[in-house]
Amino acid sequence: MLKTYTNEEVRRIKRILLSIPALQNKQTNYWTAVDEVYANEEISQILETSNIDSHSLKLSAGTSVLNTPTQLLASIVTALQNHTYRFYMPSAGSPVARDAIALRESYIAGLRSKLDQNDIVMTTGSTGAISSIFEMVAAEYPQGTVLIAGPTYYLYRFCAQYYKLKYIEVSNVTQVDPKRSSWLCLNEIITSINDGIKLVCIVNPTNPTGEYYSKEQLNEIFTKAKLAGAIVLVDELFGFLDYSSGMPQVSALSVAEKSRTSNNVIIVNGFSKTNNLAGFRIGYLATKNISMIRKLTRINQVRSCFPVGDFIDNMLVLDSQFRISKYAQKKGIPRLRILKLINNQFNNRVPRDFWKQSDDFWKTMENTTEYYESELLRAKEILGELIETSAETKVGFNSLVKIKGLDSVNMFDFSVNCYLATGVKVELGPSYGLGQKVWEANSKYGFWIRLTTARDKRLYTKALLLFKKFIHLYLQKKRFDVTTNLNFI
Amino acid sequence: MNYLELGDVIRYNQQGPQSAINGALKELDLNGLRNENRTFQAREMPTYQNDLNTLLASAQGRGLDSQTNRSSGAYFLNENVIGGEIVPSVLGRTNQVFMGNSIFTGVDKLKLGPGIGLVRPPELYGELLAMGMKPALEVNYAAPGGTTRTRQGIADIVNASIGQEAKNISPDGCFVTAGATEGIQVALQAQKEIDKGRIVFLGPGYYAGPLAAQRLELPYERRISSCARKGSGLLPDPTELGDLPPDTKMVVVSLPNNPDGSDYDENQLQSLVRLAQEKNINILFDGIFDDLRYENPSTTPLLRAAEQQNGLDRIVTVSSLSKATNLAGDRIGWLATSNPIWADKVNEIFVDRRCNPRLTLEPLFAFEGLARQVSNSSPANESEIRKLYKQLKQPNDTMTDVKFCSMYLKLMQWKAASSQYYRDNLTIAKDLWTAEGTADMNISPDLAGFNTFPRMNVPLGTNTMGYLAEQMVATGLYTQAGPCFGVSQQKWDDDLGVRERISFASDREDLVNGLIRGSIFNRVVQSKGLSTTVQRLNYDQQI
Repeated sequence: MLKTYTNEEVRRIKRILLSIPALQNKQTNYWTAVDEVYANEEISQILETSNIDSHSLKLSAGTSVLNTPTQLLASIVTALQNHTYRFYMPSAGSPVARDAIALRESYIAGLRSKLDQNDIVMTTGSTGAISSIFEMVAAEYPQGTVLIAGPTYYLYRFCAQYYKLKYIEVSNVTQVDPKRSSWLCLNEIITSINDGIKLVCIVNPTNPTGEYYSKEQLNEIFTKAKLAGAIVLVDELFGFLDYSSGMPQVSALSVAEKSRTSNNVIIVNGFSKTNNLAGFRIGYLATKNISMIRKLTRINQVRSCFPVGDFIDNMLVLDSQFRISKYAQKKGIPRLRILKLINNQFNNRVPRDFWKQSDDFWKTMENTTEYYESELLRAKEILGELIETSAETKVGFNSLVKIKGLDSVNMFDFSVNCYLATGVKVELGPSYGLGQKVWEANSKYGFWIRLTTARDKRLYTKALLLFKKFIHLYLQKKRFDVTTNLNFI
Repeated sequence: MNYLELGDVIRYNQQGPQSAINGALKELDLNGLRNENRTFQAREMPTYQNDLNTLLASAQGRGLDSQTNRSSGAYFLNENVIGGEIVPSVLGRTNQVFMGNSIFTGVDKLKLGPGIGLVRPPELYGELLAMGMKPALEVNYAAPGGTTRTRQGIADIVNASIGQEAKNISPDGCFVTAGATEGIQVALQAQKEIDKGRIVFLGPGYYAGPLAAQRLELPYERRISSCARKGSGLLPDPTELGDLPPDTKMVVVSLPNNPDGSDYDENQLQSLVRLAQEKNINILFDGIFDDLRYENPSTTPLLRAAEQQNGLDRIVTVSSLSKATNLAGDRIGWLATSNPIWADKVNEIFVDRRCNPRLTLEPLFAFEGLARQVSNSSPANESEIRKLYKQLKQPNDTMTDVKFCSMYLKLMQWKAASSQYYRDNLTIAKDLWTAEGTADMNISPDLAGFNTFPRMNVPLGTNTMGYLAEQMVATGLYTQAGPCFGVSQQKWDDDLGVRERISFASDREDLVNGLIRGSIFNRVVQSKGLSTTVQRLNYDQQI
């Protein structure tokens, strides 16, 4: 039996909800509104009093609980324990770290003109990179407009609002076959780029749907953006979680080089998703546009002097070596030559047992992506008939699925009541932009939920079953215990 | 630059300062004149003049000669050109000129004011950071200020600095920052968004604050004491602030001041807080040197004064472990406020720029907070330390009392040893340059480690940046001088004098070597003046 609430309890909960300042403002972002409810201690206490776990059951958390590859972790621990002298770095970040990233990006993208450390700026997570780019654009084009390809991470819209930039969110969903849909929206992006657009934001592979814009599609976007004088920010945070190879299938820097649009393209990446190091806030941005690099370095300079210390240097070098060696192996280059290559590129800074470490690393990474993929299949099986269609997800560890029969439901009320009845926290379509009304009123969209399949198996199963049970209950009753009819942007 | 282990520091402490002073004086006595003469000869060499011209051209090439824009050009001239690009050619020639000389043989560039502590940080921080790996992997994107335990640790740190058993700062008002720099920038941004207005920086200081204000398009200015020439320090007395422009919304003050270690007494602090209350302005307190006072009070005088006058809500504190325990590269800082409006705004800013800070810092902040709380009670022995720890720790803290006690004692040992080392180095600098007549060493109040800011013995009107540049070309020595800390160069040249920062948290041999080179160069300038080339360096638009 799921928890139901008495009239008196409902009145109390409503009082609590209406006392949350963010919920009193219709201009609050949907993601923030729901998050405020989930973070509310009084509501959490109500759940705990009823023996409902109010913390652990997350279907859409967006983070992974899987371990960081031990080789990388060990290199950080060693650096911390050895506590090498800790002096200030250049504002763009550690030169060793930037060199390692420049090499990694250059090889993976197959760039003719290799990047070097001067093309890289280290940031506080990829969030820091995204936020810095918005700050740069806002300083240069305060009247400019940002084009955001949705649905996507809440931060893009948040940054546009924060820096008082106008923004347009575009999206589209098309049926690929009876069970699969695509959320790519090339036409909407292309037709929306005009002279007023100063920044185009694309996540590739996409989050939450885990799809790729192809090389040809990126080429079209970059070319149009260049003509309009816009910068294209490509967030590649999930590229290394590709189910098929563990390597990104599309590289924005490569497309930019071939289409001669490098000056307009900037990529954002980090180690939070790929290596499960979110707690360290290691992000970076890369572009061939030196003017942008200068501006972004200056932003770092006042934000923090520089973003992260040299204790991550060895980890980044190692990660880069592993990925370059895999890239080279895929090209059929013998191991001996690869070792020589990376020894040259990294000034002989290669561990003696490199191949053992590399093989172990890739075993972990393969297990990790396999886990994400198999967990998604399992989640879909558990939800079964409830799923109407789902995104064509090709990378870990998020996907978007559409639930039947809930198209007209108030999504905020659904989230709140699901949480009250089960303790399960969900992120539904409007958490990724466009506005709650668009998802609820437009039959093309409807009730979509992000599934983050990087969680503890037992807890995830429990959360899925409770979620399923709650939907069945709602479909029977067609009403919620607590109805607010609130609607957020 | 050499780095120091704690063992080296203890060894130097056992030696005391006198042997270094005697050694340096003997060296100057024996070889000073010869070095002086060689410097004279060097000045006649074409390569010398070439180096000076190259330096000027490099400054120009890097856009560091701008006279029109307000900037921190002097700082970057020093960092990038004087101590950077120009170095290889200078060192080749100086090596040639001074070959066979005991001071200058194999000369390398030396920075007399590195501004960072070169004493290796206490090992326990490495352990605490490594312990933070586990919680760090359990990410929490909904914690823009840091995890709950981390923020509690910061609250403990700041409350401990307000007073024993103080609870004025709650974890909700505490945020992990990337060093104090980020804290300053975020505080200015928050001020802009809450109540936009003028920012007034008190005393000379690091360029980061004014640069942040400039980028945020906030009006700003820097105030220097009107009595600065009399040796009372460069911080303006709060009674001099009665004429603050009406649009002033915030004053920024670093106590003790960097570079001259000046501080406010109790009356001045009360006046400052009263001024803030009367004029409805906030105080951004940069406490980065707070823990380095030689007469180390267990509390922070400004916070204490504010608490006594019910003015804590006016204060935003930023600080870090960059100077106190030399962890500059780790960017471990914090921002704390008791004002909920400020806490909300700062939270919003952090949501925008990073989701959450590094989550590896939980054990470190938990320990640091508890250590400062324990230290406030001045425990007499290990048993008392363990007892206090048990009383103060949070229910979920897993560190044993024995482990805590061991770490605490190691930290106290490190702090005591480094403080003694800094003091002795200050004594060396003061005694040596006073004996040699190199500088007026009494003009810098020096109430805290690890910088002193003496006035070089050259006439008023001497070009400060020229002095700095030629000192490098002549001797391979560089440092930060007056304009690097703001205010127009003309003010320094004509009124405050040529002031050079000595950071003595460096290796003693480097320090003594640098002091000797500085003395010799000063002798040269005293008798022959500066080359005309460097007198073209002017930085009158410093922020």
